[in-house]
Amino acid sequence: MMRVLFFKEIREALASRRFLVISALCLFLVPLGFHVSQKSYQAKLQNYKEAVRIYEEETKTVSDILYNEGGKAFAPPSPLSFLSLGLELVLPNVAETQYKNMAPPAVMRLSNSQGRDDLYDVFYGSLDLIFVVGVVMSLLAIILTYGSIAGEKEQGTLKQVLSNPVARNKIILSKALANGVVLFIPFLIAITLSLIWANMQSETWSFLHGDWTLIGVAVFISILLVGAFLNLGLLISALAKQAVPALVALLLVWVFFYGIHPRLSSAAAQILYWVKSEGRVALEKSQLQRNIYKELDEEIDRQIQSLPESRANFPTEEDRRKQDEIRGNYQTRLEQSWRILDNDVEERRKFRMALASNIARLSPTSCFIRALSEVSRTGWLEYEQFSKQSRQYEELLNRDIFSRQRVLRHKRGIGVWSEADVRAPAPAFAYVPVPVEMVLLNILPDVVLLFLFNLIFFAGALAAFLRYDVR
Amino acid sequence: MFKFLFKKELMENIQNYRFLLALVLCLVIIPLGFYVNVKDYLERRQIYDETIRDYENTRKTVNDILKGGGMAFRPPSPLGLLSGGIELVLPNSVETRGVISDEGADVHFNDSRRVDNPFISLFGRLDLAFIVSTVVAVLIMIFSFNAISAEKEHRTLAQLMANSVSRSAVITAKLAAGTLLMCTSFLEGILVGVVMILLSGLNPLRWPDTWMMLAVGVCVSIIFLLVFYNLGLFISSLNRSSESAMVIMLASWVAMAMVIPKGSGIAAKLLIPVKSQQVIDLQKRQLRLQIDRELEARLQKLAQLTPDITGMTDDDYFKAREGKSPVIDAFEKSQAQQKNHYKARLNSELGKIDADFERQRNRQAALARNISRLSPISCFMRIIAELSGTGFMQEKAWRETRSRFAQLLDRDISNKMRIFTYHNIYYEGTDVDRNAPAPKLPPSPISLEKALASVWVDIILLCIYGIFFFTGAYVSFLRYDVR
Repeated sequence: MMRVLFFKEIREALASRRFLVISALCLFLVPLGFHVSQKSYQAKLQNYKEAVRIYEEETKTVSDILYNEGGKAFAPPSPLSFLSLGLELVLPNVAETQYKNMAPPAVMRLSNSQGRDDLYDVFYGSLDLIFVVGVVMSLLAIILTYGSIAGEKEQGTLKQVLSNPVARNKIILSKALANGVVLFIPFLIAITLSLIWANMQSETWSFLHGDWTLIGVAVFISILLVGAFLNLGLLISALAKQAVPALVALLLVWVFFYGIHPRLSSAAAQILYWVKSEGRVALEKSQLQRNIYKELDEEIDRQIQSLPESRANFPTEEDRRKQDEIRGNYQTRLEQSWRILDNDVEERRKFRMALASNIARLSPTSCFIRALSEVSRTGWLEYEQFSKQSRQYEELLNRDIFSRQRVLRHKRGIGVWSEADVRAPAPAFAYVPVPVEMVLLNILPDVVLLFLFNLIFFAGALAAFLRYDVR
Repeated sequence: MFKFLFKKELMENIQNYRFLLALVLCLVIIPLGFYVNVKDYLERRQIYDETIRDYENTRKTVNDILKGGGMAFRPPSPLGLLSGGIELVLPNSVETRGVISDEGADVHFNDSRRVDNPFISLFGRLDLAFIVSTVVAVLIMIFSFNAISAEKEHRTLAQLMANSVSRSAVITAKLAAGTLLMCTSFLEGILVGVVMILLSGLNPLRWPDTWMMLAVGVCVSIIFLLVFYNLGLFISSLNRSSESAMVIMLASWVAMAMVIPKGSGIAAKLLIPVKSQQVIDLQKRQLRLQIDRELEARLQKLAQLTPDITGMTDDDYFKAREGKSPVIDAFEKSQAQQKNHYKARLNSELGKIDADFERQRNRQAALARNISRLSPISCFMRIIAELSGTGFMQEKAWRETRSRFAQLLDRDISNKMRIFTYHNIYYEGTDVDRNAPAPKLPPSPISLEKALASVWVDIILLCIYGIFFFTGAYVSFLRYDVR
């Protein structure tokens, strides 16, 4: 019986105009989105390579790093940004370690000017899979299902079906499966063709970095989201008596899940849990640095003045050591104060992130957006990886180059020299993306939740359908 | 007759669940959006004020600028509650890099990213532009999708037409009643939002023009609301079934709110590719280093070619200089000549790179803008963003700020400096008044007139879209065959 019902639903769907519209939209939008996103990625990659080339040309040795007052670390654009542009245009992609002789240690500054190169993407968003699935496919799922039960109730065909010896659960299951097949087959065909076409153009994705695994996971998450909206459509359709109110209600729920709830979650976390902003931390750090260095200058002045005239003009090895010791003490104090400030803010920020993330998870669309941005390597995880690696690079520069800078103040002025091998090649930075396993582990709660949304909506639809009184 | 029909439509809509829904949503979401954005703005403003204070305390004189570098800061926009726009990617300030010398200051954008809440970037802001273009647009769809089509479906329109009622009165009554209710809900939401932020002591609108800009933003939102309602009526009058009308409206909304705007930038990027700002900055830096090296070599050669000073020790040289030796004077003059020549070359080449980049960017932006104008929603988003001071004009203004800041530093510091070199010793020849007050570049916010001048085409287009949709609805309604 189930088979008969399933094929009946499939035939009905295939014969309707909707299947044609869905297929046409999938076969148009998915390849278009992939193609333009790939082109955009290639342009970004070219710019990244050009920037690295120019930087490496002018920074060949340790002496160049000292002359430029610091080194730079670049993060490449993500080849998976066609899945989700995520935070790529906002989060930093360049780390500059800026060093000043008079005010060590080197300070790392994370920046991103990419957003200003792609202003329209920032303003209107991009044609990535988030848009194709999160907006178009989820709306199609609603359009496909809003009338599947309510429409039959309205026209009275449901009564006729139920007057036969057919189990109700089989009816609703066959509707869910048939609608799923009708929606997913054109989508999967469009995805497969687009991937083959894009890969034929240039081999952007490698198995080695797990790109294909992540693409597979992205497709799976997309199916889960569209499935959730299909089941939600069935649920509301089973609850409604007429098709049009069902469509209106679904549309409102869609807007809530897609636009209102995710935006509210970030705002709610910001209001509920206050965290010192990065701007304020940067300001406090610079004030702290200035005050500590003012004290340092005064102490060194006192030390110079306490020396006899000959030693004040030509300091001995002992005087130099003494100055180094004073400078070292203040530097340690500064680093400790900065660390305390950073740790305090970091803890609170992590808590607020978790709070915002958990509130957002009440909507399947936010689970999907968050998970897909991580899978695309354009999310928060990748940012943390880049800041961690650039911090390591900064430590390397501090250890091997900047900490070997010697500053000696005397009555006639200041002497600066380096004890590092200035002709040695400049330390290189190579970005290693987040391992696939870590990405998968990070998105696991969102995937499980998407699966649960499917289950809950379907269970709700089943319960509502079972409780439907034909009289 | 119109009055009667208008009242009938009004009562029908008020008694329907839809009006209550629109009212509740507007009364909750608009004030909430206002509150969140204003709170966020005030915090950023406070940090901005403190940063300015801190900067001014540490950069009181020209000497402080020469030691610590110069900066000009961008204040956050008080009207971010209208539209977050592209504020997230605008530079926080412009700053000098390296040493300010007689060759000029190397002024860069400070693009340091401080991401306090990544979810805002990922999910978007709850600003008025989003509320109107998504929430209110969907509410309008719900209001208008069956305004005519349902009457056709239920045959009530045929009955109505059987009476001596003019068709234009019917359609204008439907439009007037629907838009009046939507505007009422929307304006009530705005009013509650404004009162709430005033009562909670968070007043971001104390800067000049902001109240006026907010009012203009609300007016443009009302125009958009009318345009979209007309579109709803147009689609409803074209369809015989409410379901089809709703599906077509939904598809039109997705196309106008997302496909066209998103596609406009992409199409422009593919048709007119432009290098990134990062590459341009690095190219400029490379050019600067190359010209610096050439100049250094030229100055060394000059020293070698001046026979009277080649054999001098450092002490002899500076003693002769103190004794106002004409040889040293002539040598310094030759150096100054060389430096002027190289500075002019550097400025001209840097200017060429900037001008090329600017020209390409402008061409790309103009193309993207014109494509995006195919959709009334992108016109609306653009107008609101420019009024909020978070739009594309702000980005352009900030580019000009960078040039102005470089010119200011040139005028007040670099042009007054003259640095000479002898045997790798650099010394200042002419005196720049190091105790003079530090040059400051006050922020120049975009005035309402300027903002309107940049978006007048979009406002007119929005009105044309409205007229076009209404004409379409009117004509298709007149052509409707009741039989």
